Amino acid sequence: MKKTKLGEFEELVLLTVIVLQEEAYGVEIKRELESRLKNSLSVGSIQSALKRMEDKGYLTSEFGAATPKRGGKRKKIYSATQEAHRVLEEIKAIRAGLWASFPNSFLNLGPI
Amino acid sequence: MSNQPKRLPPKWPLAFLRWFLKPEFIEEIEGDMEEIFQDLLIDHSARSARLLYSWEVLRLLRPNLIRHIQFNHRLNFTDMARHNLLIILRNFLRYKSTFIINLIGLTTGLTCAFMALLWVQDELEIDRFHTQDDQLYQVLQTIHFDKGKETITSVPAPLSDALVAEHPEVKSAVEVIPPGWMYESSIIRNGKESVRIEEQYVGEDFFEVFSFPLIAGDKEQVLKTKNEVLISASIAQKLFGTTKNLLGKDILWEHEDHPGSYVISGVFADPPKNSTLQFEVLFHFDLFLESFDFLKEWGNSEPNVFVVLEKGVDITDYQQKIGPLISQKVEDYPHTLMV
Repeated sequence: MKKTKLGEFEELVLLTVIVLQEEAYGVEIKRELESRLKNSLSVGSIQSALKRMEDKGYLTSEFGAATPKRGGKRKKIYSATQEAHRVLEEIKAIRAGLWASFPNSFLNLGPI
Repeated sequence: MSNQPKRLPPKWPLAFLRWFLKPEFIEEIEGDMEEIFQDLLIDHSARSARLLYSWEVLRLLRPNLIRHIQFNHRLNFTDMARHNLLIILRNFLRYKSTFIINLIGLTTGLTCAFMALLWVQDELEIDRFHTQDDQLYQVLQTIHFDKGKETITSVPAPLSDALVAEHPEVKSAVEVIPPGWMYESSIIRNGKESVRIEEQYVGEDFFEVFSFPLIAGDKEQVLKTKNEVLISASIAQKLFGTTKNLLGKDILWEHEDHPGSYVISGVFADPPKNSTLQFEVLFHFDLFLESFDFLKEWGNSEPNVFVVLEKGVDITDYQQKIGPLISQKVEDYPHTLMV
């Protein structure tokens, strides 16, 4: 995981973007994550994570359709890059490796 | 919901949001915020929805979302410096004599200032190596004439012992007869090796008062008897070719008043350059006193006396006390002391 620099929250947002596919824009990402985390999130935290990952090259974005509910402003649809997929796989493999190396007594408790 | 009249987000937070966001994010985030506001209106009153919206706006204040603070006047330092340098060189070429005068004036001034700084620094180093430097004082005597007065370093010989005995403020004191004070130079020898010296006579507590390090010998034990001598490292080199294993050895002193054989009781490192006292051979003060019996009187003055005061003694208070000391010992003695 050398120098991938993906924070925990960033990783969650990135996964959500991939899950939501065409619907991956700010408010929808927020809703999805809130329902999964059972916790309320601010627009600021989501947006700043999105912009950060866009700078790092894990996300690309393009403007989508405007809706009346948005006061006529266009949505910005995010999608993950190849690089993002690679990094996510890498993190998953490292975690899986760690879980596999767990002492047996702990394995009995089962993963969270 | 579509039938209801559309409600708009509060004006001021919206304006604030438009102001602080990076321009390229405004459309997207403003749209997101409006969508959230409409959602809030479903579950909340208009009033609390507006409040929550404003709170959400404040939470958008994040370093990577807000616009950069821009300064209009960026200074071009390299070009400016280059230009100034060019102007300087042109002026030098145009006003050559002024340039030379300025150059000489500035260099001289700077050199003088630096020299003065080095000199002052050197002066400040004087005698700082003594560990009790802040408590160390020399006793001076002021001679009062009919017209005017003069301050000298000579004080009565019994003063040193009297100060330690009678003044609790004085921790230790020592008499010093500096080299060449009374006698011309003389010769000390070890067999064939000889060296011409100017001796210094000091009292017992010399190494107590001052911090001259002893290479050989115990500072508590030296200067107890009149027939011992302490020599500096360089004198030891000249006479013996070494500074080691010299304790107890004899040297011969060819002296007009007290010639004879003396036992080496200590070898000290040469006094550093920043020391006021410069000496190479030390003899006992009593040896000196033997030759000048009259000095045992309070009315006569010869040795220099240095004292170490106790910690915390107020020097101005002590001046009052030591001032009339000699006139208490001798009748009709108008001269005063100071430290």
